[in-house]
Amino acid sequence: MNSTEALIALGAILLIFGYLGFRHGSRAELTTLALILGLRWLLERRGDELVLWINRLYQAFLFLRRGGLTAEDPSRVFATVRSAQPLISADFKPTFLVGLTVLVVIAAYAIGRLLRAGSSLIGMLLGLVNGYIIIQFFVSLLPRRLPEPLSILMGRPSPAGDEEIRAMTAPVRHLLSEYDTYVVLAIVGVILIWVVGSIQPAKGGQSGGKG
Amino acid sequence: MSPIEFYWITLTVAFGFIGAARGYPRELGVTTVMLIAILVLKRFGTPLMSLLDKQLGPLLGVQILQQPDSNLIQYLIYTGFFLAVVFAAYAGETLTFRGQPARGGVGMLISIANGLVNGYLINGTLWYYLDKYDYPIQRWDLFKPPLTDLAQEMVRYLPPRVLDTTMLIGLIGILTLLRIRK
Repeated sequence: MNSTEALIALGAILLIFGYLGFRHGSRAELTTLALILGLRWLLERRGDELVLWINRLYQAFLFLRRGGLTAEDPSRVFATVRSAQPLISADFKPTFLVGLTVLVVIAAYAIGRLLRAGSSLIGMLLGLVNGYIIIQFFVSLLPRRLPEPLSILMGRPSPAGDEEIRAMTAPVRHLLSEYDTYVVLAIVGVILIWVVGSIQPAKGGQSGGKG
Repeated sequence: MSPIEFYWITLTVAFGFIGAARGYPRELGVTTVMLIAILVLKRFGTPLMSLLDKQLGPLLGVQILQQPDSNLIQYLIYTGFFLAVVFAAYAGETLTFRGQPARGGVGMLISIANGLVNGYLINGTLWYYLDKYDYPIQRWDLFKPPLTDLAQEMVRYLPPRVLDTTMLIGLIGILTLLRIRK
């Protein structure tokens, strides 16, 4: 896939998100945006911690299943559990985080749908923003190289797969590095349009004016 | 003495309360004025200071920028100008948006958020000039170096450092257009 094809693919995905945003309306999309940004923050800052706690809970579960403190020799059970394979190994961690992200993004859209209130252009713009963030989020979560079994299936070694990922994400990276100011301005602009649009007409036609 | 970031955060939170009390249609007007003030100071601050020095020099008989206290003088001029704009934005006729905040929790949340943004812009700009001129208030024992690790991290994100000219012009343009259309 060359960069033009990747750009078309990116445009098509954004079009779908834009359409969904148009159908759901601004309130639903804004809720989804908040949930996705929250998830991103959580996984980036606390992803490792989350995996650590899941593995600890898994060990606790194993300990209890093997008799726990009522076992004949709890210290031996404890030692066996500690030496057991973790539920989420270091190799499996990226796959787990991507899977978790997919689930939370679906949940975010499901929650957003509950709040939908008619079609709107601002909803479409917010949908585009959501789509862009989701794509960029997945790109950052993907492993740097394609997993070895996958590269064998594709009939080429990992570095070529690496190139493939690089080509696919080129438009996103180019947009972010070259036009970061404009991307931020566009996002802030959409938020400002929504904020100003939510201002209610003054009672009795008063215009206000005093700061 | 408490670290500088403690005062900064406290003041910024206070602006959040001010935002909640005034409502975001008014606060948006203040945001616009603050962005204009930051743009003017950033873009024209140095040439204006040189012009001021050139014009006032012969009258006062001293070159301001060559005085040992030049940092303090420049800090006071920048801060004085900025505070005058802040006062005008809050007390005078401003670019207030017509209408009332949205009802309920959403309106209140937007008002608080906008107040916090204004607090960041105002307090952040004041801190920026303190930092730029090497904390000249040290001479009155209002500040004691060094900065904490958190403060050193925070000074990298002060408004005049984060907002470049394109961003400022873009934001002012968007807000002005929205104000005209409203």
